[in-house]
Amino acid sequence: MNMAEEERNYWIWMASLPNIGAKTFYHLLKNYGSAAAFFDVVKAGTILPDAAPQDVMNAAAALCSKARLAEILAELNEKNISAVTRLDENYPARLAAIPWPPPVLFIKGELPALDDAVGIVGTRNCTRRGFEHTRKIAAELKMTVVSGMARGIDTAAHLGALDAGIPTVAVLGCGADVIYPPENDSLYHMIADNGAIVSELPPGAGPIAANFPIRNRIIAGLCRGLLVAESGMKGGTAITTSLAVGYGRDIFAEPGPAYLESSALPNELIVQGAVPVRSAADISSFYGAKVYQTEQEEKELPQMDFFQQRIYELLLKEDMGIEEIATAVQGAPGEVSATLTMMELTGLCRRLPGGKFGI
Amino acid sequence: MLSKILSCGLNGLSGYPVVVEADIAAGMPAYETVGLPGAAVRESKERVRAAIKNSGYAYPQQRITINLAPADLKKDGPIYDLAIAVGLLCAEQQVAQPDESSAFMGELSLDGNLRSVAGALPMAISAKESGVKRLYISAMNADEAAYVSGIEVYPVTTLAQLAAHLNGETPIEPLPTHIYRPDNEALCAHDMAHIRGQQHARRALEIAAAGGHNLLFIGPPGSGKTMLARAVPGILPDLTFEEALEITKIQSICGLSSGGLATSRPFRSPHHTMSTAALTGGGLRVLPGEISLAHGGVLFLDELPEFKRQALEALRQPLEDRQVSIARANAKLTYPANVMLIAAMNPCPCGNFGSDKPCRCSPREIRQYLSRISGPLLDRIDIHIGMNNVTYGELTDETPGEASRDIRARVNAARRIQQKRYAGTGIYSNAALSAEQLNTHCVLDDACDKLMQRAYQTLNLSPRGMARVRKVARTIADLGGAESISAKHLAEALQYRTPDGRYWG
Repeated sequence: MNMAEEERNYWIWMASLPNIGAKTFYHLLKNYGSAAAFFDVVKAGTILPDAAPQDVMNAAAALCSKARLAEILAELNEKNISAVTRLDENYPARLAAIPWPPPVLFIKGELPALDDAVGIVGTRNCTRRGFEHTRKIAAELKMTVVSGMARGIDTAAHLGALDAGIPTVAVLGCGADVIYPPENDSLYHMIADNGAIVSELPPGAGPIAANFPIRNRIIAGLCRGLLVAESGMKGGTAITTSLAVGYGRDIFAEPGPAYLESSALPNELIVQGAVPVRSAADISSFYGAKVYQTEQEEKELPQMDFFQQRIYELLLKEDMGIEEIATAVQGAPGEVSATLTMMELTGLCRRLPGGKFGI
Repeated sequence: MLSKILSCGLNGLSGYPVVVEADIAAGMPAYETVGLPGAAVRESKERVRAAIKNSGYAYPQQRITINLAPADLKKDGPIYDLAIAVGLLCAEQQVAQPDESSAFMGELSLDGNLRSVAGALPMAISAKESGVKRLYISAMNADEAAYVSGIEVYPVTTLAQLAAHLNGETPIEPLPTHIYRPDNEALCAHDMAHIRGQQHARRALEIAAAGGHNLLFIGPPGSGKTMLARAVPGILPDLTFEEALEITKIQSICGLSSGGLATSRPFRSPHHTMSTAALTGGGLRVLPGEISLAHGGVLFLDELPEFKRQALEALRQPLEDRQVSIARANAKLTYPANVMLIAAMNPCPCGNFGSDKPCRCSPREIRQYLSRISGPLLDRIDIHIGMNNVTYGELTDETPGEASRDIRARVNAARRIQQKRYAGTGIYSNAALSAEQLNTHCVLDDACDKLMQRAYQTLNLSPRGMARVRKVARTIADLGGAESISAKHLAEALQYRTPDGRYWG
């Protein structure tokens, strides 16, 4: 084993220490010259007691052995997780340029080309329309999508990319082998097969709240531009956005109705100069790429009678309950119910939670 | 000196004749009751003695033996007081021996007055069946028993009055046989007219009432689920005589009878802390539970997921068989349980999932909440209604909704069609149709068949769900006065189906 490779392994060992952050990592690296040197002083017991926070010192002392290093490498191998250190050539260039970049990235799957990557972030509690709109943008974008695999907008972003067969990158706030949130189990595997699951944390790390803002800086760091979908003024999305602004990323925002709480952040960003994004073409043209015309032609609608036509036009505007529909079209509830079933069967509308209907 | 007096015992909902034998023999004064008497029967000794004395008759100061035949069945309750007292007076020849087709039932108070007893109606029915012609019973229960035709019911208020009657001094007039008249104007405290908006839910309730279908409201707090459910008794169809008899029998043995025959359908809404035995029936005396007390009417379970899982699962079999069989060490009984189940629940722990207000629950919490209701139970509910909050405009709208009375008229018409169709089959409503009857009475024409096939494929229906949709379609057709089910009826019925997995997100 040559020196470089050995040093690389010590980086992985160091990054696997519990609670070691990027700042502490680089601080130790600077003081001791290399990860191998740090390993040696810990092993020899000659390290200064205040070289790093107490819990990191304790963990380092307890886990300082060649056997532990071999164990870590074996675990990565077994879980099919690769580690990319900042020393490596394939470390994402854009990420390397941010302050305190992650020393080691644990990756499940294969990291796609990130030159044109677009980050898409937003709230977990998005509206159904917002979810579908974001999914559509991600699908038509034809660029690698980076997001956080959380509920809501993140899920929509990944799904959109997968719909279009474009690789996508999910940055997790837990170990790359931990599936969180649990309902995204199948999404996790799809991303791992068609892109990469990325985490700064060692395998097995749990999804604790403090990890997520740290994860957000990786999303902001990896992408060339960041698209802010639905979000309130506070929360993870706002953090990611301000980090991305600090890193000099292009900021895109989906405008939304002013009365919706979840449109507050993107609308505010547009006021401050972000690029408003109505469809994927707005991003493509910003980057001077060929604008992908929405090849989708007007969908051939099934035959509708007059009554169905009226209901369809109502539902185009917004999701409605049977009550509201019946009032709006002045129909008897029984008749409206029967019509809605017919429309459901021909795919003209869908039944939604709470007795509502939508297109 | 021996006398034999006829009385009656109860086993579940059916009565059986009991012969009370009283023997007075020379010897030291003593009193013995044999024939498996329960505590209340043993204690009758004291009531009988005081009542005889306080009615102006002499209590025999000799050796008294009372036998309750058949001797191998356990007797309980104070209903034998009257028969024992009459038996003693006859044995002493203070009172003329009544003929063999007279039966006596009643609890005595110490002053000789008669108190009401539980189970007067079922006992009167079984007394008549075993050949009794005259029934002497407490005046408080006489009205209930007088609905049984072919038997003379004598309302008795005191022991002395009865003795005078038996001796031919001052005869008691038997009650005329009552003709049953359902109380059409029995107004429910909650009239549908007071409910604002919710046209869709109102329509669903009307269908449920007309066909006796089980119904589930799913909606956020304050969407009117409970209010709608409480208005249901007002739109239920009128009782038939047979149904009224069954309902009164159950109420009678639980001591809940109001005196006459039930005139309106029961509405039971037990609290969710209820035990399984309270729901299905049981206890020391193996009495009917809530599901039997709601027989012929409505069992309303508010906040369905809060009920004990065991209690809810115990509902499955009665909902299917429309009767509940209770087996205990000391009794094996079957009570009728033909109920219309109305349940209400929130869609998630915070209650707002799917409504206009934001929901704070994670998908996992929602799934966990819903999984408290098992699939098999959901499968037995014909009509599912998703509700949303009522808007302020709807709340303050002064135009009243349609009154319960008008809705009930339509429900009654639809129910009459069903009763005519199912005459002689032992069922009264579409909901009770068996799989076999479904094929004869809910025939789907070609257009319906095509629609059903399409729905089965695209809407993720289960085979059981299909059967439910057909029953509901039958009821919708009956409400419209249509002879056969049309595609329109079926399409509407499909709208009330169980939400599938996707619905919950």
